[in-house]
Amino acid sequence: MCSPPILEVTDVTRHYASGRRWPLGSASRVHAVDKVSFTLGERETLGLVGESGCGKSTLGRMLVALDRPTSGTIRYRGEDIHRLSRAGLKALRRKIQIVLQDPYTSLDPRMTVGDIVAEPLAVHGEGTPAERRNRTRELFELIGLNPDHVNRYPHEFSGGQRQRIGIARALALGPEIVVCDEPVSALDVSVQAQVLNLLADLQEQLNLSYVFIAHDLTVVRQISHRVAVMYLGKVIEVGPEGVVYGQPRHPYTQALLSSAPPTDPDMAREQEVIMLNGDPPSPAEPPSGCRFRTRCWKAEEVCAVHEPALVEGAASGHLTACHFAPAASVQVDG
Amino acid sequence: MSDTTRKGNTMATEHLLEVHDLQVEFGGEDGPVPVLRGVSWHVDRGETLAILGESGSGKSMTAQVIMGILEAPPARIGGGSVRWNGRDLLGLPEAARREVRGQGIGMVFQDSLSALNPVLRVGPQIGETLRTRLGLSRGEARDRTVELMRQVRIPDAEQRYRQYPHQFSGGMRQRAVIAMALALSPDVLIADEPTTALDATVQVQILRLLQTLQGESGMGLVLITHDFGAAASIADRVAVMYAGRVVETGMVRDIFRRPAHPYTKALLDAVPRADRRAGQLAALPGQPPVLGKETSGCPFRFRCPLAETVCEEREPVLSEHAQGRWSACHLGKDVIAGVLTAHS
Repeated sequence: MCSPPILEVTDVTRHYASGRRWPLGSASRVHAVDKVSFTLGERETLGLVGESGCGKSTLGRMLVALDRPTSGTIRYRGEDIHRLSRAGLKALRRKIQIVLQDPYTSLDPRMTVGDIVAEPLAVHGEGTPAERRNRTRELFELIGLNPDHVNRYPHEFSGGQRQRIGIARALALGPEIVVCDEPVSALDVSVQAQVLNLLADLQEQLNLSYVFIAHDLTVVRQISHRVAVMYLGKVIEVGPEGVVYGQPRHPYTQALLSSAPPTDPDMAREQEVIMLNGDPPSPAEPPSGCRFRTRCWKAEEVCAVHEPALVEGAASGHLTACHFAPAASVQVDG
Repeated sequence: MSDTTRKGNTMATEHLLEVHDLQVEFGGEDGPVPVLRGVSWHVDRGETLAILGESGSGKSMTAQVIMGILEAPPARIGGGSVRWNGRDLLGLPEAARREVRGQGIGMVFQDSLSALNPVLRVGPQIGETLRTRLGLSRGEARDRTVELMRQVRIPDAEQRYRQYPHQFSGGMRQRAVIAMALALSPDVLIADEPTTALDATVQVQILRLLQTLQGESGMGLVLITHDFGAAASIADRVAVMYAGRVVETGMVRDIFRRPAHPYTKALLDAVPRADRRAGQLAALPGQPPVLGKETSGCPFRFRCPLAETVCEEREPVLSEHAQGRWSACHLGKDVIAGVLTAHS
């Protein structure tokens, strides 16, 4: 991906004031996202993977300007999306769209699915009502639904079909970037594969760039060109899909990968699982230094004092934030 | 049943827990809707059975019938039996069922947060059954509870005993719920999607814990899951459900390497992998079946690459296509042999 990035995220931080006084007292600041930087190339899919509370969804919301960073910038084709005028922001919404996780709550049950898909067109004053109806039918065909069903309501569709409708709505204005926030995690495996294939096809056809947010490592690998692994608000490793999965350098990435069992019974039983100590700490009180150190088997004194920077290792474009990342990449057996 | 009876043995082999031809329907506006259409499986002591299936296949409902917690009405048990140590549970009065629940069969639910009372301390919640069911004194129940908490590897059990559920992480809560299910030392533990709500690194811990506990006590473990990786990791045998029936059952290695039902095969192919990236996933076409839609023949035929005329005509029954290889498919032999396109 040598062409200039379509999206450039620099030192983005999002803190929330936690108003929760009960039961533990003292309001604190939740560091949901902390100094995250990455770029997204044209026609590229960047996977953002991490466990609950790592800040991946907060980041996703900021990418589509549904939330503002506390500091840092997000630039779409060089322009800071959080310094746009009202009109500028509206224009941006044509270019960056989002697909949400839950196909049950993200569609208005009282609107027909045709109206749901056509709504962005109406909001942006695209075409006449007749033209919008035609465009809606086109979109239905594009995402593999019967255009004759535009007058039905969301409850008449299955989870997978509803997620297709959510995708059609995101595509209505012809965006360049689609942020997909856990788009398949509510779906059964057979339907999940359909939606993943659809997203890949649409990327080809429409030259889309995706930021694909998910907690499932295998799903992220399947769809992504590059992958960023997040832990407690930080990107701790980022690189091309094959390198991050084949030669993970951060202990957390290694642990995550070891906990995804293969479907071959012998391989699943032989797989050496790295058991992490305890659970992730609260983002309201992240550990000093390296945020992963409290669960890391490699942690030493330096980890509590100095926060490791995200630096490039032997492979180009493969960055890791660990004091003890091996100098040469470790080959992990598949 | 025929797989369990051997010639010359007049006494039928008795399984620890056996579900046979279980049928459940729901009363709908347009008449009863069948949800379980003859579910059969069994689990023995020291064995882990994984029940695999997608949502709506009926895997959790089977567990609800076994535990006697299915709401009836609207549900109605139309037939079949659930036998635990040879006793038919469905015919027992409620008082006797309660005896079996907990002491005979323990259950762990997916959502540990709603399984715990938020305003009560965790320890006494785990120990409650010890007092009410075993009549232990407060002190005895407390000691036994701390022991149980250690058994499920809750660190600082003494201290944790006094904490509230919100002070527990998701993984720790699930451990507490498992401790609760094990409190009365059941000989069968049914775990319904016990790791689904948890993060990946915690999922492995819980799976391994269940495996260890099963090994320690020799109980039978029924793992209800949609996760093929989880089943591959700890199951001895597998039952795959589709449209309210078991469509394939056998040893985990056989099934996952050489499925005998095209549905199992399709699901295995649709799972993305961590160790390599597929160009396109082999997606199963169509949608899972809608309950209550009366169809003839095999319910999977609409999505099946092999479907033939016979599949429209009659619904296949679970039958043995090769040694120990049971599937409900007219073409089971072909599927095992790896034939993936329809006959002409």
